[in-house]
Amino acid sequence: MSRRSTMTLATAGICLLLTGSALAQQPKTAPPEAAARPASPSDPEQTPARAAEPSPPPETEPPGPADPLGTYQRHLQVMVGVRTSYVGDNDYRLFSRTVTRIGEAYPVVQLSLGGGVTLWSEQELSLLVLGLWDYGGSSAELRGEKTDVDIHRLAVGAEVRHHFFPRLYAMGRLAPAAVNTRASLQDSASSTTLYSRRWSFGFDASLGAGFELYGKPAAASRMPRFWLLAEAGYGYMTPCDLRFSPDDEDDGAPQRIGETSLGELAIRGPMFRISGAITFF
Amino acid sequence: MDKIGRLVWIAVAITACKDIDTDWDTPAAADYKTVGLKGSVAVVDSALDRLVMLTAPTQHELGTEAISVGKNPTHWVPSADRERLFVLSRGVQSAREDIPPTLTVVDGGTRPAVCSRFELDKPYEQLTLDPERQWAVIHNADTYAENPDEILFARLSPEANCRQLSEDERQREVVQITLGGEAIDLGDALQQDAFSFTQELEWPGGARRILVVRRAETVQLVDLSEVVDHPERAQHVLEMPEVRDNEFGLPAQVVYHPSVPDPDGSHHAWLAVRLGNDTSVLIYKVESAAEDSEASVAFNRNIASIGGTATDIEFVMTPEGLKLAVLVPSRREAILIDPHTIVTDSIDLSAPYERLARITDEVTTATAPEDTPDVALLWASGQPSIAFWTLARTSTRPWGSLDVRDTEITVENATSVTDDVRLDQRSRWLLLGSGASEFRVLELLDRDVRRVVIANDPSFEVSLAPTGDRVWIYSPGNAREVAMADLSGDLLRIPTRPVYIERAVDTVLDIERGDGGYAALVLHRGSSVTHGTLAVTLLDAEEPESTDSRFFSGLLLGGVK
Repeated sequence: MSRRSTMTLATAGICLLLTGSALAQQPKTAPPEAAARPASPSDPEQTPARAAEPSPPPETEPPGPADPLGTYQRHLQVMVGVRTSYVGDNDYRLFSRTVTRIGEAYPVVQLSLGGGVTLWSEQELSLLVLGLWDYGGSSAELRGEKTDVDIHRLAVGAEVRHHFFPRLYAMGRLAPAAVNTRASLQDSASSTTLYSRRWSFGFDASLGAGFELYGKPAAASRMPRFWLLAEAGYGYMTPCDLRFSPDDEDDGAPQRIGETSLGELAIRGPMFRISGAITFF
Repeated sequence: MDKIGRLVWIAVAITACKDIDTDWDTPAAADYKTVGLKGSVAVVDSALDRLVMLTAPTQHELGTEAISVGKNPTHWVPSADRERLFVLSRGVQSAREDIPPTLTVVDGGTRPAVCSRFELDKPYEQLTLDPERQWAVIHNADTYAENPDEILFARLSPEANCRQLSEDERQREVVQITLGGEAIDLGDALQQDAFSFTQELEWPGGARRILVVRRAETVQLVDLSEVVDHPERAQHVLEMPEVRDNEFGLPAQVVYHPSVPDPDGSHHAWLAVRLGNDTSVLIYKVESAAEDSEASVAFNRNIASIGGTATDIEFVMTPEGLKLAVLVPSRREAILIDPHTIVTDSIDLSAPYERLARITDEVTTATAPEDTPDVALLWASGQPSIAFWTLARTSTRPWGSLDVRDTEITVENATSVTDDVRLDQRSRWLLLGSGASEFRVLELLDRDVRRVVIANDPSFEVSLAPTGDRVWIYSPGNAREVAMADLSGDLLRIPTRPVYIERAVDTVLDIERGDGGYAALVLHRGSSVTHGTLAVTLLDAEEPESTDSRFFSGLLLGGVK
């Protein structure tokens, strides 16, 4: 799959997530009768006659004293961001010649898409489960032969949050991942493109914070909230062999071709991720 | 704000990036060289100062091993038995860097490794190996910066041949001497083939091996037994005579006979020099010097005029004793010269043969008497025949029988297979012509000229297996086929076995496999003209089948850091 089509897919994914979130929100806001209900469901005064009376808009409702964090804390989250990891593995130089000035690590920049939902909350603490897809790659030349690598990182993890304020929380995240490395080598000697596609195990362990950029102040507001998220930690990946061979359907490739081995690759090292997120309820 | 500013700057510093140069950015030279060794193929990757050694551990496996050979490799020579590769590197001498020149000896077996490495004091460009693997002579120092008359001797004792030397050993094993005589503009005279090693010669004071160096107006003889301990006594100079006004003889060829008995029972070695710019040959008898002489060895010279330009000379043994055989193709004659008396006999050859090789040992059996006259092989470029010349008087010819064999192709090149390790112990020569889709295999023992016919491709090249009983035929360029000819049979027309190859063939090299079999490595250079690429089709050399081959690519990429 080309990098452009993957980006298109990523965009479609974001749209799908947003649409899904909106649909998930609809049943809770659609009946005007339900929206007109007072904050407390146990109000003994509630009658059909009173229910028929026009009610104030829900966003102006004051938060209940027992749930000061409300939708700040319990929500469905969709996020898009940039994950950057710093790889010390010298074999990454097959695909990149750019290193940091300090430490000479290879930065691997990936688009990061994800979504999660709050499973549990207790006062300032809450627990989110989330899924993440990080995608990125690099290109270079090996002694005149073009190389390319795409790295897909599919993670499912848990995030523990602590809200200092409704609009600011700290979090810790552990996200095991399946990492798909798709490398290619345009080989002039055989006049064909060779590929190395491997799956590896990995995880991200990170600490970070979220800050609400925009949203209604009311904790019970069901309008979307916009967040800025930042996290840093360590991303691990078990090494995968870089053994190149042509595609099975490549009729022009030599038959009975042996694999071209160029070592192994491990995308692991310190990482940080900057994301924007939208939360719904 | 100051703290925040500092944090921002630290973050920027940590994440700031730069581009680095790595070996991956260095393209391989498109015209890289390859050397076939006994159990491996050495690809000289000069751009990265290394050899990429290709091996075949098993029938379907290809191994690669990168071996560093010092900065700027300039010259590489395999040993005659293909077991070692000697690589000369210039190093770097600049204001910024000082990396010494080196001579690296690499084991060319099925598990390649560096055997030994000699650090040199200055860069040299040429290397000549002793066929008996006792010495390497390093010569042709940089003529701008160094004395071109200096040569180095590196002693390759058997135990040092494949192990790391200590610094002391290195100092002891490398000896530098400066060739005597005037420092003159040597031009092409001091090229690699100007150096040759002799067998042990009968020498005053005992048998010696000699290094012969042809120079512009002299022949230098270096006594290898003295070169380490007494280099000042090791050199002997043979001055060439003046052939015309202010023009001295140019030694074009030096031959020797190691030991010939005189009538008084003493034994002497003989040397002969063919001049490239005159019609005379010089013959030297090696004797003890007179007691009042400073020199230890005397070279008593005779000059024989042969009435034409000689193209080849060789000492031969006849029933009447030692003779110097001289070929004069302009007169279609061979001349036999008695070295003692300089009496000459002319022999009509009926053809302008230019080259001569003594093949007595290869055409006689072990039970033949010791005084069997020599047999020589005669050939010439452009001549559709070869001749066996037996150096014995016959009833019809004054000097030996001439057994002419029709080759049907004009022979351009004759190659002895005897340098290789032969499994069947049969001596044979390859006779290659020009413009013909065939070549000949000359079996010396039964004097058969056997045909190998190629499928309508006069531009073919051949590659000989190290066993000598198999030859690979291929056309570098676009052809996608190689053919193997099995020389071990008795058929007069040797069949070829074609094998389809999936990419254009560059060369074929036959090596030993790690499991004891033999592999043929068909090398492909790829289509890029801007950088070198290398792929290999691996075949079983003894039973080559396209369907049983394996293709390996990206071989110049392995081992790069």
